[in-house]
Amino acid sequence: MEVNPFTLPPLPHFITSFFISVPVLLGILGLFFIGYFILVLILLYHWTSYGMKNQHVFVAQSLFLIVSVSLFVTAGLSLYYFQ
Amino acid sequence: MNYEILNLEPDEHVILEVRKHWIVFAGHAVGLLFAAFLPFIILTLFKIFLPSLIIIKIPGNTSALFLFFYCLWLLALWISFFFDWTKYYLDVWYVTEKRIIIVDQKKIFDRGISNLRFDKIQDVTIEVEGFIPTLLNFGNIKVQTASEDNFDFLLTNVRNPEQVRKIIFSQHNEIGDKFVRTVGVRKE
Repeated sequence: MEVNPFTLPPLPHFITSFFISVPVLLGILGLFFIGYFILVLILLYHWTSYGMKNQHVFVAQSLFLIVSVSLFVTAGLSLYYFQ
Repeated sequence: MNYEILNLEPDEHVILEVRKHWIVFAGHAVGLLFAAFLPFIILTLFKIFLPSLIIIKIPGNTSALFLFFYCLWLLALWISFFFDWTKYYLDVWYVTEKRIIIVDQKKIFDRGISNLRFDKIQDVTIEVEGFIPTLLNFGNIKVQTASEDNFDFLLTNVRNPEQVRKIIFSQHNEIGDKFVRTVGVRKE
């Protein structure tokens, strides 16, 4: 095998098939969901304890939950299409 | 609105809620909006300048994988946006007929509540400095107290500071007049 001393060796390709698989991605999604859920509880605690039943807080809460659920569903669906 | 948490007296009502101007929060929001587009920008830059680096063999639908990670990225930004909003929204001064209740929400787990009675107020100063604050009518408001330690309360980037100052002064004067009337009646 001839090696040209004036050219740099090619960059190595990532072997992704080992760690990018549906079970691993589901694990990532699960861990992310647990972290997110804890943060959601913190936010909900603040909104219910200090929000004083304000309409703005209610609107923010609804918007936050709707978009969060939509994004989690989209992430889940993307895994379905990935496999 | 339910102000139970403030422990108001039976004849006490909230006249005014003083918050920072929305532009303060909008600054954070714009930063997060930029961050939402960041993956596309990075991907485009890689495609232009380092196309060899993004040739990664993935056993599956690459677009679906990108969408998966992008959703997680957006979720992280989304909750970060609401943490910012919560800090912005809960950092507030409630002006009642008798006092100012100062809720200082520094961080999400750093919250302080102070009460300032109008008879303890010595001076209220406002400061609107710069082109944008003048244009959008926001600035800093400082309430100086007549207590022994001369403690001052400061809220930065308040919307319509002049109106806030007027309301605080009118309540302060009303309390002062009531006091004078009461003392006057007693002397007579």
